[in-house]
Amino acid sequence: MKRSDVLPPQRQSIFALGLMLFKMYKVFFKALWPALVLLLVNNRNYTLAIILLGVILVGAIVLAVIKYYRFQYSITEEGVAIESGIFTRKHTDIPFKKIQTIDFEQSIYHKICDVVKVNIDSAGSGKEEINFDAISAHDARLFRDLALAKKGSNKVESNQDSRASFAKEPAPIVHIRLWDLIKAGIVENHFRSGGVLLFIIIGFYDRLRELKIIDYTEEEVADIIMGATYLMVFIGLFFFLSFLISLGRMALKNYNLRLVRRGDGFIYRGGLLTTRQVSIKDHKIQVVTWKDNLLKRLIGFNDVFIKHASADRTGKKSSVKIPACQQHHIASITRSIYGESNHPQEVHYSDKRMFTRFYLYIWLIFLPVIALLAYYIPHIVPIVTVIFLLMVLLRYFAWHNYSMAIHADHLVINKSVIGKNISMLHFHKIQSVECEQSPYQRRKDLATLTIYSAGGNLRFPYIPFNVGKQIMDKLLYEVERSKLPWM
Amino acid sequence: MIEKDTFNPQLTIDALPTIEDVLFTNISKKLLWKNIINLSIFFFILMTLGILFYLFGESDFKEVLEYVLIGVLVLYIVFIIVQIKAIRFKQYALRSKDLLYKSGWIWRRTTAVPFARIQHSEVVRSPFDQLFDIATLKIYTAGGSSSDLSISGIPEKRAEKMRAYIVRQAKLQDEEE
Repeated sequence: MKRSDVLPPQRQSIFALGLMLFKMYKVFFKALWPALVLLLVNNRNYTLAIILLGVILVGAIVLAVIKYYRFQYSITEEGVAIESGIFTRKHTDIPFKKIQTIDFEQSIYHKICDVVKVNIDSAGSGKEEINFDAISAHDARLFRDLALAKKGSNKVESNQDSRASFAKEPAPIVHIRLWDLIKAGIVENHFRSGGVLLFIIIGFYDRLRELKIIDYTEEEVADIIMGATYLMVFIGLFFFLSFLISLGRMALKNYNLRLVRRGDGFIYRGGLLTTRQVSIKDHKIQVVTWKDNLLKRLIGFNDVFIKHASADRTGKKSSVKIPACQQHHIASITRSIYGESNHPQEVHYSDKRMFTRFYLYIWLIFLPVIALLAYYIPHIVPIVTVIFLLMVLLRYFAWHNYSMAIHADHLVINKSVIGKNISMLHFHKIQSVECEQSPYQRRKDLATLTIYSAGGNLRFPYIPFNVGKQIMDKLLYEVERSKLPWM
Repeated sequence: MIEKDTFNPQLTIDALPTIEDVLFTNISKKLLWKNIINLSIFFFILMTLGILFYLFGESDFKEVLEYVLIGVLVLYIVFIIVQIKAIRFKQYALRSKDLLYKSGWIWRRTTAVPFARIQHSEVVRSPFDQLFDIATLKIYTAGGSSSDLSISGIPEKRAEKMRAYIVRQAKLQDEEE
């Protein structure tokens, strides 16, 4: 690498030392805590335990300091060069053109110290990720701007230009405000938070019993929980806490969320305690999906997922979720990636047998089940009937909404049921295509098409077989003639 | 000056190369023998354990075990029939830009993997493969394990040739990009 340095060789911010020390302690304690516990509890050998603790404390400090002083980086006009290694010296050169993504992260510690954690994903034969624990915010921005400029064009951008471009950051195409986050938190999936809460409660209860702090027998506990008053309070509290957890998670994770369009990519930034910043280049984006549910639809909110491939050539997938997106946000994102929305060249729908076959089968199962229930447990017949009818209704919506629109260079698959679920995918992002027929589909000349991408799979069931084959041929043709980079 | 018609000619769906016109190659019948031997070894071990348990185990379970052993035997026969039936539906074809693979007796499947999307490929030979002089060609893409392709029962030399061709074509396409 030609050494025309934009930033001469230097160490990370001194605050990185604290993080390195923390990591070292984690490694030491993970390896040595069983020995420590044995010495303290079983052998009661306090002297040896104190010596071991001393070794851990001093050893970690010494290694962290050596690691800090031996880690040096420099930014040149071609890329970044890193010297590292505690015992063995290692030199790594990462040319800008090989860099796939540069992500920034700021925990509270980083924010207080005004430093940034930087994760660099580079294309290599294997997984090759470089992390800076803490470098100054200025260096991080300079590095990102240079990398973006180099990736975008071949001309060299000066240090001064880079700083200027950062200062004049374009207006975000998505900016989620706190009030919108609160609304999104209210309509979030509270059952998921409830599951987490239940898990914590069960774990905590077991721990208290182990420590003999709670000493009820199983029967007593059952009596307490089954008591109507306690049960009502428990359920009320459970939902209230689930609700608070959802709300808290939403606000902490997405506080001041911004998605900025910059060059040929996006910059995503958000989070209260830990601020996450992710650079997503257009060519890395595999699939864009947006979803809602009935409650979200009432207030016009969608969750947008931008699924992109990481540099890891084994096919690791990454996804950025943007909650509380309105229709104009989705339009801005999709327009930036897929261009102006034109009329599709073709639109295909699932065959009606996707529903009628299910409808027939469900009755075949439903009638004997209902007959048996009516005989043995008649009072639950209405509940089971409602469940069966709901299943039929859901299947109807699934069939009714399933569609595939083929545009000039991308396709749109709508697999909404009650909530919206729409995905967009460029043809050249397709990894492989599969056409499958079950015995029933073969009899009825139908098929299911599956399109694989590095951002997930898209299925299109119950399509006429001939149409499926034609779509497969078209998609293969488009993938194979495309010269555009897919990753 | 670029001729208008040659710069961006219109294509009709009928003009596209179609998978239907491709001549597929059946995989080697030796795969059937390999699969039968594999299955037989597995079921033989299972049956032997069952019979030993039947002869020397608790007498309470003997009646149930009789049915289980009959069930295992029926399962073995069904698996063999499936293998015999499925073998003729396993076919592959190489085109200049992709690899096609058909499989499945009950659920028929056709998969196409463009060379430009192949991450890496390998030829694997198990001891039984070596016995029958066949190999398995494995193709990996970035679409995850569900989109990877594994074609068993290709004659060994042909599998190596196919892999070399795929690598060459993938590299060529990479360079074009």
